[in-house]
Amino acid sequence: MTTHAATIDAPPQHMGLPLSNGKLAMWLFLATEIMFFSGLIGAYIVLRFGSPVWPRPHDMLVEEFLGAINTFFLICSSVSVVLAHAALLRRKIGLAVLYITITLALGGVFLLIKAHEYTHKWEHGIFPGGIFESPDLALKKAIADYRSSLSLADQKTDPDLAAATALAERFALQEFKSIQAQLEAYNKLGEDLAKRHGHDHDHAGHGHDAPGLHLPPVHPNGNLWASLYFTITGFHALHVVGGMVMFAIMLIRAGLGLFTIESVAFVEYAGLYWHFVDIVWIFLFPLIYLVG
Amino acid sequence: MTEAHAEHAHEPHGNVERTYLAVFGALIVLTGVSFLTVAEGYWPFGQQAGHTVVMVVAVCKAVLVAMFFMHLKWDWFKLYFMIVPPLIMGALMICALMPDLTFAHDIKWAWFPYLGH
Repeated sequence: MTTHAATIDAPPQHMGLPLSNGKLAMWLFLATEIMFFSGLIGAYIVLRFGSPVWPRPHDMLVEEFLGAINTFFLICSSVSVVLAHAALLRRKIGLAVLYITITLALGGVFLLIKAHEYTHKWEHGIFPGGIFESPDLALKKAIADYRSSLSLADQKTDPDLAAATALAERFALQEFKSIQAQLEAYNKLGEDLAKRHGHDHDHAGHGHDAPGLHLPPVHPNGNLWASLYFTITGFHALHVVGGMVMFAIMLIRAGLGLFTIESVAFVEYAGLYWHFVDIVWIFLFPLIYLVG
Repeated sequence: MTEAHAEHAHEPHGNVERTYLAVFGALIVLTGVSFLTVAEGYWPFGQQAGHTVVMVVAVCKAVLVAMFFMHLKWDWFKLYFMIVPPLIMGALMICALMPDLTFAHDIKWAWFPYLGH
């Protein structure tokens, strides 16, 4: 029985750079990914700081806690993939497979939380093109929808409709000097209506069964925010899926008995990709959730 | 044989796992710090300072992941030629776009044409 060294040899090197082909190739790909994400994140920075008003994270139903939890899970998955690599270096194939499974599972949890965040926003009308940006148009639409839900007799006597129509007339007469003033009046009407009916103004978007007129939230530049948010986090989520595909391939190969000590290279390069995806999220989390 | 060992020669054959777990601990602490800057009542230094801390913390976390998990602490001199140019170009691209979109404040309400401002 030949004695093994405690760790196995690195992949064979070649003339030129003191790097294996796979490592060089993966880093070259990651360099292109740096350009890709700096384009997207750069677009967010430039557009956000060029906008005189910008929705706050809470307006767009962005919860910092979910972002922090997602950051925690991605960091854990980075640790597990690097522990898988270390385990393979120590020739512990079973332990490596366990760590890869943990990585895959944590990636899945990240995507589940993202899916919950996305559907929560969509339910409240937060998607590109779904957000009202000016108070007068939002008010017109709310009045039209509400009027169509009332009988002709009710239309004459309903107090909500009367209050909203009065505000719409003041908008039409250009009584307000700025959009901020219009927004303040609009939001105040929304709060008054909500108080009258005893429900929370923040959830004015859905609550179709509750009585009375509901004013949808108005957020200037909300659609720009939504376009950026879904594009950037969507592309990041797609990259997470790509990483999970690689780990799934590893597990399938393990099931077929093809995952051996030689797979250490695959684990290392997939790990490099996965750490990069983690780094992108490390920048996305503060930008979107904390700074906003 | 010696050539193959050379890549790992300067890395402790001992407990790399302990290093990874130490970095993990640091990352968790840093994430907690950045989360606390926006938690109600915990951050007394104002919003600007909070945002700066948050971005500095993000850079620190990224550097930790890159240096230790991506092994750059040992591979930097073999790879920096591929990593530094994209970072520079990304930063330059943002700087090039800023005058057009961020500083053109005299066209403030240009995207509300129907309001007639």
